This record gives sequence, structure tokens and C-alpha cells, in this order.
Amino acid sequence: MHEYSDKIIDRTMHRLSGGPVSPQAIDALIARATALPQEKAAQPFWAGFLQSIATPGPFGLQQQALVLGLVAVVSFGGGIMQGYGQQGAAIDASSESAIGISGMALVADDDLTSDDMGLI
Amino acid sequence: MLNQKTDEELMALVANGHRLAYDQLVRRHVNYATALARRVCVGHSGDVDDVVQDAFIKLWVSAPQWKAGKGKFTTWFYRVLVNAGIDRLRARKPTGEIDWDVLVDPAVNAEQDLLVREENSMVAAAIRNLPEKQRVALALCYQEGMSNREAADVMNIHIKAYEAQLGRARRALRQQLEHIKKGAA
Repeated sequence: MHEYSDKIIDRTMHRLSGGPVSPQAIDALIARATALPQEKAAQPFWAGFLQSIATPGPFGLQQQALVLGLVAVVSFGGGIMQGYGQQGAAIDASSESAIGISGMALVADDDLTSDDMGLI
Repeated sequence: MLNQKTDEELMALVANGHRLAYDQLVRRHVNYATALARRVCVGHSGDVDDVVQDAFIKLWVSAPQWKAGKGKFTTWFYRVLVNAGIDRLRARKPTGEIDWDVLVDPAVNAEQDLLVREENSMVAAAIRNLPEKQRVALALCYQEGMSNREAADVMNIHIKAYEAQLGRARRALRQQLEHIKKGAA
């Protein structure tokens, strides 16, 4: 009985291979598939950045040059602003101490009245 | 020139949008793929063309994602095809009807023709009751030139697990066929 069943299964499964697909059906399948857009290849996140800076950008410049230029401007500008900040603080500090010293000198002068001090 | 290239070489071209390479790949595999789809979708012959089309569309659309050197093209493609077949079968509402595209040799006489139809219906009814994995294992087993190792790779399981699925499928089919035969007698 097992043999009989096995033969039926084998015969039927072999029968299922069927005939060849018609050339028209193949052409239609190819046309339908290739009309669709392909998915983009998966790539690491940094690859996209590298690719973007390697491609030509506006004004005929490479985006790489543009990005490097921007980085340079930002760091140079930051440096200048920081320099101004430090210089300004130094000026403030020195002027405060100068006023302080001159004020103490004036207070120490017995000949000066408070009106004179107000004029200085 | 393209017809001398391996599947993997063609696939690398398809990944770059090469339509002629895709054309070559489809013509090379379409009959084999259709035979496998017929076996996976036994009893639902109306789904066979859709399953083959889904798989070949996936081949074109996902080609840039395919990584050369990660295995044979056929293993990847037949896995796509089998999954497309399972998706179709799951989406179908279970009905009592068996849609069977009868493949009968035109040389056979009317009596033999009747016998073939009867066998087809019996096997289709039995296969429809198999769990998905057993059904796929059975379909791959009859794929011409496919070894058990390759079939296991397509199913993404160990070869021992594949052989176990196949054994269970055969036992279940035998039992069902014998039951049908006894019922008819």
C-alpha cells in the first residue's frame, strides 16, 4: 500500500513540472518588472556623507571644497571672536584697576574736596 | 556574451540596472521557477503566474541589495520564490475547491486521462492539508537537480531538519492517500 501511494505522489509531482512558459508571457514579465524603480543599495551612514562631499556641487565647485571652506570659516571666525572676547576682558580688567588706583590716590590727597573729586 | 556569464555575474550587472542581464536571467530560470511554483501552489494553479511574477519583480527591485559572495544566486532566488508562494497561500481564504490545472499527456486515452485527473485531485487534496514547511520540503524535493543540501539552504534550515520535514510530509501524504483510497473503495 505504501509503495502504491509513493508511486502516485511521484507521478503527480513530476507531472507538475509542466510545459515551458510562453515567450509572450516572459516578455510581459520582463517589461512589467523593469518598469519599476530599483531599491537603493544599503550603505553605512557615513558612506552617504562621503559620497555627498565627493560629488560636484553648485557653482562648479566640489561640495568637498565647499564643506571644507565652511568649516574653515566657522573655525577662523570663532577664533577671532574668542580673541576679541579675551582682549575685551583684559581691557575691562585693566580699566577697572586703573580707576580703582586713581580713585584711591584722589581719596588720599587731603587738598582735594569732594567737589574736586566729582570733577575728575 | 551575456549568456556565457554565471548567474552571479549577471546579478551583479542587474544590480546596476542592466536590463539585458535581467532579461537573460529571467529566460534562464523562468521554466524552473514556474515548475517550483506549481509544486508549492498545488491545488491553486491560478496563483502560479502571480507567484513567479512576484519573485522576478523582487529580483529586479532588490538586486542592488543582493550581496555577491554570500551564497548562490539560485538559493537566494528560490527562497524568494518559495516565500512569495507561501504569502499567496496565506492570503487565500480556505475554500473547499481544488483549482487544478490538469497537465495530461495528449497521447493518453480517455480512460487514462480520467485516472490521471483522479490521481491529481487526490494528491492535491492531501498536499493542501500539509503544514507549510512540509509542503515546501516536498516541492523542493521534486525540483530537478536540487540536492537535499540546496533544498535545506533554500528553506534556511539544517539538512537534518529538512530531511525530517520531508519524511513527515511523505508519511502524512501516504496516510491521507490511503484514507482516501479506503473511503472510495
